[in-house]
Amino acid sequence: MINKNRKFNRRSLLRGAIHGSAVVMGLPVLESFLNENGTAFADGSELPPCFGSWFFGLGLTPGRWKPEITGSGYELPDHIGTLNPIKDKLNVFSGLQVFLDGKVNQNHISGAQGQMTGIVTKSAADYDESFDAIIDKQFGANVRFRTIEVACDGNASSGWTARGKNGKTPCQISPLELYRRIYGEGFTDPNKAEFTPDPKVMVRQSILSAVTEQRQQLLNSVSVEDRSRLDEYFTSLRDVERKLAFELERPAPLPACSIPNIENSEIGTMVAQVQSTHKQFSTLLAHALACGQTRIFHVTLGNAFSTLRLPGEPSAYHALTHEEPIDPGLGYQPKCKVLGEQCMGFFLDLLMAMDGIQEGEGTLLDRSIVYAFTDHGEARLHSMKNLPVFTAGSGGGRIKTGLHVNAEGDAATRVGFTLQKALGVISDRWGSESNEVTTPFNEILI
Amino acid sequence: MVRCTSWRAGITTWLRIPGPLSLKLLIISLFPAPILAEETRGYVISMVHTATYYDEQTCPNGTNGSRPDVLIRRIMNDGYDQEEAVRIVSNLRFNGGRDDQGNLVGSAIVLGVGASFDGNQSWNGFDFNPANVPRVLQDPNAQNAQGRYAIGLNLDGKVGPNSWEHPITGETGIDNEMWRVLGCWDVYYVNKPINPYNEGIAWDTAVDAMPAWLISISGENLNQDGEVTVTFDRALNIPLRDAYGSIMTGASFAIDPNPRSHNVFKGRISDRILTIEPGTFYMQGESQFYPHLQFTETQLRLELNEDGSLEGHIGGYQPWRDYYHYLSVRGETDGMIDLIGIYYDMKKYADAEPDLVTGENTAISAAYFIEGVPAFHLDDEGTLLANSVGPGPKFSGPAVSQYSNIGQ
Amino acid sequence: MKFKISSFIKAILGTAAIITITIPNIAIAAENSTNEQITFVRLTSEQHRNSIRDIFGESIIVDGDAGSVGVREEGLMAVGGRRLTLSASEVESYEVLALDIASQVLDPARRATLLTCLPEDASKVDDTCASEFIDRVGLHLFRRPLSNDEIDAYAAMAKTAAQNLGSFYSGLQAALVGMMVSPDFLFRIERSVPNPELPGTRRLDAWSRASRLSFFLWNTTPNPTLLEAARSGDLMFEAGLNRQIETMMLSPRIEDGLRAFFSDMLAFDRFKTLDIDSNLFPKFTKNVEDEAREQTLRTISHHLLNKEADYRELLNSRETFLTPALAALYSVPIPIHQELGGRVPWVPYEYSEDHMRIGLLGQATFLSLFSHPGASSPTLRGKAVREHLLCQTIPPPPGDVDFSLVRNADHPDFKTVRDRLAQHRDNPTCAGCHMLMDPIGLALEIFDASGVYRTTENGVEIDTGGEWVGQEYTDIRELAVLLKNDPTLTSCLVQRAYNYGTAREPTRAEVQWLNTMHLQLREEGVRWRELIKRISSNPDFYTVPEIVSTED
Repeated sequence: MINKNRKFNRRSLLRGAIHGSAVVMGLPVLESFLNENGTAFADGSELPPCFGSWFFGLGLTPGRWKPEITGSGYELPDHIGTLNPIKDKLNVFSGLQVFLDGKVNQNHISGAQGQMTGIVTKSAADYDESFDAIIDKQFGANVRFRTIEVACDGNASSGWTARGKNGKTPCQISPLELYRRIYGEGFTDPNKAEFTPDPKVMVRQSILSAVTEQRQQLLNSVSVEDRSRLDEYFTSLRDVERKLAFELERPAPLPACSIPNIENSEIGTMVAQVQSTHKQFSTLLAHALACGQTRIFHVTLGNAFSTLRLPGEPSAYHALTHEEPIDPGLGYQPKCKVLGEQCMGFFLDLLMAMDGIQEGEGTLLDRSIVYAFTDHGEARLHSMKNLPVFTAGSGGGRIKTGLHVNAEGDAATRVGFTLQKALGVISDRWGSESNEVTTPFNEILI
Repeated sequence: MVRCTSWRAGITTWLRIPGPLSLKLLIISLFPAPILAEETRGYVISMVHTATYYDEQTCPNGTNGSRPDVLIRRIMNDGYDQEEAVRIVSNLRFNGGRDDQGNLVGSAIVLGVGASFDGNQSWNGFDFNPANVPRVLQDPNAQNAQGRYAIGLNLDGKVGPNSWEHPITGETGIDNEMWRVLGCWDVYYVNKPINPYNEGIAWDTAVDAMPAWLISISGENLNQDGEVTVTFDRALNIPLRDAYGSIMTGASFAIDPNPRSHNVFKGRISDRILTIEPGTFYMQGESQFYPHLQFTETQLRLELNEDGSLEGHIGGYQPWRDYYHYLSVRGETDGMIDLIGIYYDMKKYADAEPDLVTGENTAISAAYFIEGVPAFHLDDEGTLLANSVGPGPKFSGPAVSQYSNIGQ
Repeated sequence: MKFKISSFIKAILGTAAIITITIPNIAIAAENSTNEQITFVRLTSEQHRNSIRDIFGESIIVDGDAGSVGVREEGLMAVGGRRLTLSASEVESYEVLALDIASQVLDPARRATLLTCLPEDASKVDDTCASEFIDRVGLHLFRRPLSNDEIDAYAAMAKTAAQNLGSFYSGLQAALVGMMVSPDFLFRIERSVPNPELPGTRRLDAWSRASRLSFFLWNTTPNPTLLEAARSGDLMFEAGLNRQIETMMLSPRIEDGLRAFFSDMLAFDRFKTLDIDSNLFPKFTKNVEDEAREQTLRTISHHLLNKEADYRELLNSRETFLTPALAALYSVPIPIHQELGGRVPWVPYEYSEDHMRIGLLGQATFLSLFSHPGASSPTLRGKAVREHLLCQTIPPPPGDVDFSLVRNADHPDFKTVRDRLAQHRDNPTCAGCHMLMDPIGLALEIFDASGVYRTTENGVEIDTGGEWVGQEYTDIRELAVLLKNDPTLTSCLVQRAYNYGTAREPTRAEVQWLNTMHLQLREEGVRWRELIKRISSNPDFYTVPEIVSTED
């Protein structure tokens, strides 16, 4: 529907131009139009791939999520059955683990850290560059926001991404704030005919550019550690400068781009609150991708010690994984299983939001890869084995989908490495010590 | 007005005492009980509303319905058939109440605030609100509550032909003619935990702005049976609410030194039930519904709960025009009753305080549900007068969320 | 200086619009630029806010927090500030804040008081007037004078903007925004040179001294007097430095410094994510949470500053301040003199001798910050006492531990958390650490996660007894006395105060004199003013350890 409307708008604009009606700006050059299907720009270049990482704490119920068949044509077990609507665009990875190499198991941190950064450190405070930052460099994308990170539990430090060695990137916690950031001042609807660069934005950009020039002077007298921090600050400054530069450029039309509606929801850690916050973020992120505002995002449902809670339940999810007895009849922790399934439901919400955006014959999800990962294979025992990992979307035909990959005890970093490869990162290895990998999962690479 | 004078006689005398000295003397005499007693426990009243109870006997011929039913009946009285009356009421919001011919129907608007001139429309041509002079309209003969049971207290010590039986305690001789008047209106035809709509909403709105109503109980040992003193006071400050919207337990209240709302009763605790010797009762309020609450022959039956809270009924003979005014000021929009019907029925069932001149009863037997949670009482200099004892109930007061499934 | 401004036409055609400000190489005035070394600490949101307030006045509204919470290192966010940088979204927020602040500052109503010169034509460039403004404001924003090159650079920004936007004041706004997003403002840049008196160490230059002192004592940017003392060189000498410290001690701003320090030391950053379940603890509303935080700060500030009392007594002090809602949470009576709709009153309150709610540990702040959302946690509370009050470190729990028993409140045999933890401690891998944490927390079990007093758990009376370094206690009152008398309590305060002010750990040599000072203070009384005075007047406070890995 959106497509049709947009096409109609375009035609009517053309008509308007022919009839000499008041169009402030000249029409966009035809070369930048999308092709008939909307799957690529008219010059043949396709819509670029997007990458998202999605974290859910505390894994799933051991032994209840792994499909029986390896390869294609498997059935999703009940525990993750909620993902069935998206099954063909999904890959399930089992048998993955993160190696500690004798270091202390920083409970709920080491696992996620290993998968996102390839490195398990002695102290949780030491956090290295996450692989989405590597992908970001590869994309070198001309977007307003290099990356967008969101946390659904109201805790800005719940995320797992980092630009360098100088601490994790704080997340945005309020959907409303994110909405303002994306669609507030500086947003240009790519499908709008009128475009006038704002001289104020030009000035702002020039200010940041001039401040950046101080970099060299300061760098001359700092230590190595401080230098990397300062560099990261100047990179941030340049990101904002580029964001402003982007706002000054006429965007290429994106028929699938529309502005979503969101409601102001209460932020908290109750299941319903997290679900609602996550849903709002999913909508916003999907639209931001469709509107070319960003290409990389990170969603975390909550912090490492998931504080997700059922109403009236004194213990949060994390506490439950340790405290809830395994029901002897059922053979698992019933409340934990329910919470794990809730998380899968949230994942589906994000994927459906992306799959609901039609871009020609495919969807936004089709040209994206979403990587879902967790901290523990069995949270009850802080186990780093059998981590459930999923990917969704093919990155615009860069990976195969509908597969169950059994890694049989391999380093979980293989998934991150495979995705880097798929998205064009040129490198022959990733990770350190036993988490270093050199072979991607070739069975999913195209 | 004679009625009012007789009601307020004692109080107006108090207020006429001039000068600071007499006020000081008054204050000293106001708090004798807490000083003498071994223990004084304080409470803040967290909820007050008309005591309701219904079962299948209460309205055997059906209820009077609610606001639309009142309007439909009135329109039909003007000569319209039922179908058209329903159409007129259904379209009221869109066309201001017009019949099929497009004529404005004067009886299609509710009585109360704005009933005289609502835009271009007035109530059947009246240039005043008929609810203010209800006798200008005829008695609609609404259904009255009947049956065996009603909540209340035995005010006259007798079991008469109009007495009820208490549905929970089984006590007979219950006097509650007000229930007869109100019981078959849908908004009163409710059982706990549902409150009568109008009073529940009014209390919920007012409680955050209204100086609190307080109760204290003094006695040798309040955990045992024995004689006690029961005091009602008004506070200088408002109650606090917790995250549910319930009235918070353990809060502090400064007692209003103005004696107008100071009521002391001899009482007794027996098997955790608190009762009092009858007396007059007057509390000034700032609720939209109760600008004041007053009774003669006041009685009380409160249960002392394990959690420290109080729950039960207060009742007595209440000037029926008080209640009529509570309703008419808020109007039929909130009241969801037929004001005219209430007027005639109150007048009809009033059972006490005959007017010295006309002989007409000016008061009606009534009962209210009240609930209190533990609170500290202090005087305006900070001296502790009553202790807050017990953790209090999980929900209390007008907490709107208590009927949802939160915390279940 | 030259400007390369692409034409508007080019921009309008849809290609990237570029305005380039070419600025000269910036050389910064320093004592000895060849040996100069720079380290830097990120401003906290509060320091940013305070700086703007003090530079431009109370009426400027800083609408939002741009910086994230940060990281805790060596027990302090202040030390973590030395590791922090700014992410793109943070810089983005700071830039938007800067635009808003700059437009308020140069609002026609305020201009007159802030500008010492007026442009000849408000629609045109006026380099002289702009430079004067930049010079003057820059001194305060950067906490040091700007070099001529820097002034020229910002004047170039002003000029570019004034030309493009057709307003002298828009130009000043641009320069102001530039200064407010620059690292010189958003970070406390500390410049040091080799210390001739103590080889192997580096000492801060006078301007950096002024900053360190001001952020330590007042949690804000140096005021004009202090900057003047830096300019004159006074701060480099003992007498001049002490004179400044004495003056600063007398200011009410000293309370800002104290509040900032204790908010950091007592982990108030946890308030940002505090999530006590109001379904289970309905008295703990958002207002109560905010008031609890203020109660703690008010109590500490009154005790240490107004009464000049000993820090140790905070552990068992019976004096505090309450609001009506806090009094209801604690179930104590307070006199109420609140106007309807008026401000929430703070009432001084003293607990009776037999009351259990004493000292910092009996306040809702501590009790709720170290609880689970739905239940109290003796382990978290015990760990917090060890880590935040005694500067001890508890290692993280090992993997592969089954905690099922600890919170199975339905267990027929183990009704209290004490019983359940005792079973848990039977596991030898857990016992070591839990023995350190649980006993302290168990003494606080009479307060639930929201700080409400209770005597039983699941119908069983709560046993608050335990042992502290060989001495037995039966309840929190006795435990508080034992903690109060423990030297670790005060050595921790001394260490944290020093680390907070310097945003680093002390060197071995510094530890020695800190120990000596600690012993002296224990004799004389551990008083806040005395402690910060001694720290800030010690030359070591203005040093940075030599870092050998400097790259050119």
